[in-house]
Amino acid sequence: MIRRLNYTGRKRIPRTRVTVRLAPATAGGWRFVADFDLEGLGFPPDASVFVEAYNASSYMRFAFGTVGARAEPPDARLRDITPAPLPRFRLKVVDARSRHGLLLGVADKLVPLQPEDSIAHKQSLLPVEFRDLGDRIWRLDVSDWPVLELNERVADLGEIARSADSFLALVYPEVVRRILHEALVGQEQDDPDFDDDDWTSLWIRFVCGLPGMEPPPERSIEAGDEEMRVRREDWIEAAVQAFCRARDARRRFEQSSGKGGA
Amino acid sequence: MSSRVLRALNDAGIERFRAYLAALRGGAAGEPPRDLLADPHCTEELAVDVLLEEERFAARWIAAQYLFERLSALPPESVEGNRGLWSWLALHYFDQLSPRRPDGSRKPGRDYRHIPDFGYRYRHRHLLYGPYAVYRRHRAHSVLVLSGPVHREQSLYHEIASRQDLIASRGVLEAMNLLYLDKPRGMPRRGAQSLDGHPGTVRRFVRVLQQLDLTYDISGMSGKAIVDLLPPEFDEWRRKA
Repeated sequence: MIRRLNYTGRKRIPRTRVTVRLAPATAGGWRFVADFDLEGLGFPPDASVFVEAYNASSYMRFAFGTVGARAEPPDARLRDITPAPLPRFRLKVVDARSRHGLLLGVADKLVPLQPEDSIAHKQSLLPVEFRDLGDRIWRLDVSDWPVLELNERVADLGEIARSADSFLALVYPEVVRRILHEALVGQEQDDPDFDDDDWTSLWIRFVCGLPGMEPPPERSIEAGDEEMRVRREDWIEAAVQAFCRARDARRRFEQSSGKGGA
Repeated sequence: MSSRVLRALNDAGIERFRAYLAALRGGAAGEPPRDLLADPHCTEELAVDVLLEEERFAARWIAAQYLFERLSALPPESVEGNRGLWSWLALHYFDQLSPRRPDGSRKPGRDYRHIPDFGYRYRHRHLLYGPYAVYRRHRAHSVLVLSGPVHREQSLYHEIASRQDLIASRGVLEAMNLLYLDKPRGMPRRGAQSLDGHPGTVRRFVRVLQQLDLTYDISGMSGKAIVDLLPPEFDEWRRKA
């Protein structure tokens, strides 16, 4: 994936300023409720506000009035959004006075809260979705914010993923490795402070907080592409080890398989 | 013309279809296992009876339109993400999705072209679900993106369908039609899909839009507005619009 740079002065709207929650629609399917606070971000009051819902195969756009005069859309049902995968949301502030709508601010890849979710779930590093994965047990989707997909056909898999030691030991280290690979090698993002709303920063920050972990190697003029790739992959391997150590993965796996000592 | 009631392959049916695809790739020349299509041990009934003809589709968008119309009778949740249904459809239309070559062999390609993988990398690669998903969203605006025979994906389809932000935008498809659609033929204009660095090709269109998307509200723009916004390297195509 090519990392694109924002040279335009467009503002990022902090994720903490926006909450989207799904709710059952009366006629079936979903509707959504968006709550956002754009005060103090410097947007002109007459700039238009839109919320977009999208997933891999569908898209809808809703007008929410302007920054200065919010107006709820008359119909917030996600009628054109396919039942799966779970949609993401994007909030946009647009200068509608310009001939081409200039993008003034955006909060992207917003994971909606499900009706039963508490606000504490809002910034989950690794949201979980249940899908028909055929004979696979799990799959990682890194096309957007990383999502752990679990096979809905496997009974109690959500509980197993939450608490089973064998699942933790066998699955999560690989999940961590692949997410970090996408961030560091795929997107060449190595800065934990790059963007507080970007999953790459949040994941790198999470890993840097594990005992014994240093920040990832920074790009240097002397190091060529191949050398940087090797350094990053070494760091990822160290990060996976640190994750396993912090979670006591080997001992828990041995105990769960009846091979552990006291 | 024969017709069948649409069903969904179950796990056993999918595995037998998968084994057939593997055998074809291994050089076997057997006929598709059509007996699976009505076999109660390998298929499941759907909530509503949907009758499908043995249609011959002249283009991918025609197949997508036909399936969109037929599948609209079903509840959306039994269509989207239903591996068995889309695998059944691929087997039903297998002669078109993997036609015999002059030497009698078939080249089915990877499994996900016939048995959908709904993960983000390959979901658009299923030869029937991919076009269906684009058509459902954009209807007649998808003629260019879904041009060509059902068994062949145009490179412009790859360029656009693999990028969620772009394939979601009606304006982007309108702009592509203005620039690259040879209307009388219903096909891309000559050179539009060129990979030789020619200015203003579809590949460049995608790269430029990805940059413009950082500055402009592309998903809120009409096709004409997007065309107007493009840099001079697109002038040659703009003149044809």
